[in-house]
Amino acid sequence: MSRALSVLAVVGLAVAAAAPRAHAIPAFSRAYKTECATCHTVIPHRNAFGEAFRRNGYVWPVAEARKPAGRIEALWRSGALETLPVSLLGMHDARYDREAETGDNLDLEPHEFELMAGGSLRSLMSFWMEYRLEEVEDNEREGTEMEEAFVMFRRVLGTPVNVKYGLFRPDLTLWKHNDRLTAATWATLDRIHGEKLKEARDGLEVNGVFGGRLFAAFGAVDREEQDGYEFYGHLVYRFGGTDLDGNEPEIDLEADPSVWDDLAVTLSAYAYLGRRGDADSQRWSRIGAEAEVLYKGFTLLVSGLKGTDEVTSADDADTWVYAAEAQYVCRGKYFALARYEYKDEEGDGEGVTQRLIPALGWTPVPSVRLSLEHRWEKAAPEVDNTTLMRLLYSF
Amino acid sequence: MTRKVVLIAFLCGLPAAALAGLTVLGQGDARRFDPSGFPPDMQKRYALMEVKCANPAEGCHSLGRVVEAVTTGIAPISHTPFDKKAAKMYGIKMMRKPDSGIDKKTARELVRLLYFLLDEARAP
Repeated sequence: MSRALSVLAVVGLAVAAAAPRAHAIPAFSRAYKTECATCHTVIPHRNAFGEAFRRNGYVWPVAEARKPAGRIEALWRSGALETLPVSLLGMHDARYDREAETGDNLDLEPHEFELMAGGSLRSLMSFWMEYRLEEVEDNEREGTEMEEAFVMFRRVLGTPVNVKYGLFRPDLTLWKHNDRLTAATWATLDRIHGEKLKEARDGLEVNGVFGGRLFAAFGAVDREEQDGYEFYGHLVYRFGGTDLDGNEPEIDLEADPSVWDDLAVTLSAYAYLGRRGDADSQRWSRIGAEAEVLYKGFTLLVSGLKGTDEVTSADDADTWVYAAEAQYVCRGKYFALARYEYKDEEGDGEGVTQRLIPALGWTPVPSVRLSLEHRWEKAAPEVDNTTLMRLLYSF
Repeated sequence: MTRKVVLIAFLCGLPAAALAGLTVLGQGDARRFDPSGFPPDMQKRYALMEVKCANPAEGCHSLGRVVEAVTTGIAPISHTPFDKKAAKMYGIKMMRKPDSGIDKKTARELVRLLYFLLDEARAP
């Protein structure tokens, strides 16, 4: 079967290599007539400018409420967009599981399509919608579902404060669920005692960038079948590099080269207070901290999370999660990464899950990515080895 | 007389346009400056720009974008003013872009060229 996988990989690479060199035209690229590389290192991972663009409500950083030159005035006055702000994201996987219980080692699925729409209306209000047409995760079909649908009122009353309302994933971590280069989800965002921080919730979030270097977000969410609310907060501070508004650092070009010309360090801390149970009586919380070091094409992210879950008729369950990922993007076409994750869901050294995930990827054109990742997962005494090839494209 | 020359050139479809001290050749994304009238040091920097900024093998941008920004004073993608401050910011941005092949010394030379082009474009 490993021979079959090898053949599949070779055929996949060959097909992708022979593909016509189409232009990348997702919605924001069309709207701003710019390359994918403006906002992404390798799709869908965003660079510092792309994150600033996202935080700024899909408005080009530094360009504000006045009519930008080159735009059609009547459309701008009407708050209408010049291009249809819709994109599609397609993903096709082939998964090889050496220890598959059914004996079906090679699984030619899942396939997923997502419909995404986003933009801003006269730079005053922005919107985002993500509709999943089909997805399979952990061998469970999850079907068709609205993933996110929210609006954000920008720079309320002339302040740096934005107000987001609707169905959205709370802004909690530096690397987002829709930002990763692997099929594997971040352990910090994934299921812990039945709760996933990556899940979208109905809520209200107040966020903003202050002084270019500090980002703060606070929110309240109202989950289905709950009487009460859940609350969260996130703080980010960046030293060096492109600031959180997307502005380049002031560098003296006459001076000798310095490591600080290319170095950026970002620190982040977040907390989430949740509840569950028939009468919302069981509380749970997550507290996390992260650091990201960016130097040219190299990125290192380390993160840690402590979770506390009230359990009926038992002591609170403490969870510890540690994760680190090193990633290198070369020439905007190739990437290599390695991630290690440690999750102790009982807090006592029992029930520990460890994952090691190396991955390689290649983008024949910026809107197409072919990647190969391996997951070594140990949840004693079980060890699972899964290899996954993913073709991802957006248009 | 000047008007007649411009009109004749326009009617003949000649792909050249003059803006103050700058001459633009070609059209659209294929536009570029004619460096023949530049001082020798600026000619060297212009040759550097052709290699570092508009190398199709590296997936960079066309020189048409530079021509657009310099001649109109508006950056074509962001639609923000393109002045000397913005020129330096773009130099820093491209220098910091991974694998751009633009080191600090090259960025310094390119920004000097952009300053020269902006001055020429606004020369009376």
